[in-house]
Amino acid sequence: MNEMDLLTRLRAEVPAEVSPRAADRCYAAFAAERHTEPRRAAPAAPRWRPSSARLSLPRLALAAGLAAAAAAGIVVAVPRSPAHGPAPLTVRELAYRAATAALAAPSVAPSQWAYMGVGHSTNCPKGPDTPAARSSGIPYCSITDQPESWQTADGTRGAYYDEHGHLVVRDNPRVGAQIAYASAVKLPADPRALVKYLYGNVSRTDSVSPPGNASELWLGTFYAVVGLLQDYILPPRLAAELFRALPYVHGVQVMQAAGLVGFTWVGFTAESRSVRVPARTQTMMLDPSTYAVTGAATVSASGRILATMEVPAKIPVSGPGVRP
Amino acid sequence: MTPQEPAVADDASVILRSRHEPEAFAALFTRHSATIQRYVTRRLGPDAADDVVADTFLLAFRQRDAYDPARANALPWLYGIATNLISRHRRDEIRLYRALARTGTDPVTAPFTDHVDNAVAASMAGRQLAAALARLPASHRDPLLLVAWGDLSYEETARALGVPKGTVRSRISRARARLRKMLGDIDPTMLEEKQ
Repeated sequence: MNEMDLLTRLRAEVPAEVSPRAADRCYAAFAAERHTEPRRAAPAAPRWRPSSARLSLPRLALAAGLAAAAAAGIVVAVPRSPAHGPAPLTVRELAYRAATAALAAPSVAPSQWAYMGVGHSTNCPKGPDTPAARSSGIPYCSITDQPESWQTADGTRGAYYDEHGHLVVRDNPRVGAQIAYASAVKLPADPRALVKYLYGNVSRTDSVSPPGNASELWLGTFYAVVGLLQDYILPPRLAAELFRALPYVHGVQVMQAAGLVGFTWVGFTAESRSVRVPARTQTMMLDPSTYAVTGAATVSASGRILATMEVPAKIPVSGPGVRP
Repeated sequence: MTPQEPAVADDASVILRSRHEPEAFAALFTRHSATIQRYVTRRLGPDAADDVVADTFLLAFRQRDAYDPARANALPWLYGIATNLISRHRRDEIRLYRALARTGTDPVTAPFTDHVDNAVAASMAGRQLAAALARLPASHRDPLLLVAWGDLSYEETARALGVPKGTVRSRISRARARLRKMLGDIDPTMLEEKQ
């Protein structure tokens, strides 16, 4: 052993691990420059949800897109070559971009009303995946309109117009998120601690099959993050932490796809390997230009849509029934 | 549906792309930040390392237009920036070497080891090495540690420091001679056991 060998071993126990603080600073700076530098990139991709004034056309486009996709048997096209497209993203990179965008959002009070607009959900439980459906070109997909609605930022109150045009205001209209808003705002600020808490919460409250199955618990943790981001208008800092937590959720990957019912999107995915149902991928779709959550989809292992749900942007308004 | 495949572009391609697509630079951070963090931490300890690593990549990001795209591997470039930033903390670096030399307990590795492991650093070799590193001039310590801890070749070290390869060779040779001299009184078999 010579002096170089000894020197090489000195402080060798220091791990090769980047600190979250350094990563925070850098990813935020890289993403921030995007907004301050003139870009030569392609024009922004179309938003999932257009303005409420043009509802009929996109509904047709959605149906037509689904039909065409199902008939072609191709629903999702993942760009494999980065030569001409955007750089491939890692989970951490996308998480930090989304977190940076979330931090730029305005902070609103829990009781603030927001307009939810009109969205769509699709359900194709077996249509595009069956040979008969593909050969006939008829997709067995149902498209459901999510009616125009309003909700408070904390999700405790909601409103809609009934068939007679009367405004109906109700309590607790949404039960999607597993964690109440009041509890969510007290969640740990550190991404790792946040994931640890959510995983523990899923372990305590969810019945997974088989019991204690780690991959299902991680999938539940992913759902918990997605639910919080979709169902509430969270304080920007918490929304950012939830995005930053995603790299620590096992099994989460990034998917960039074009062609999903006519929309380009980027998103986080987690695969379900439940023994009860065939393998499928759950996705949280983000707008590739604003990184806002725009929808969710369930995709079969063969890459075909099983269900999609549009998540309309929540636009703060002065009260229930008020359109922006 | 297939998950997105990992990037295969070399560093130069990533940097070139980042000139018109700034977020692409994040790929370079993802690829090399842990390596740079470990190197800086070994020199300055974990507290200072966070800021130095972030500053290294932010400086690189701002200087990406000046990067020579003929260099496929950006690691020497990043090490060079990090070394310049480390020089601003020279007193802290030397203080840490001296602390190890004096007490046998290394404040740099303490956060990463349990009490028993850290006690290993109390070996005579570790203390003598730390004392020698504290006494080396920065112009010798930098190339020596880029080779020993950064795992760079002499050529890459020369590129990182912006000096001729021959200069790196002679400085490392002199630094090694100094280390050998300080370690000369230690029984090599004892070194083997204790390390």
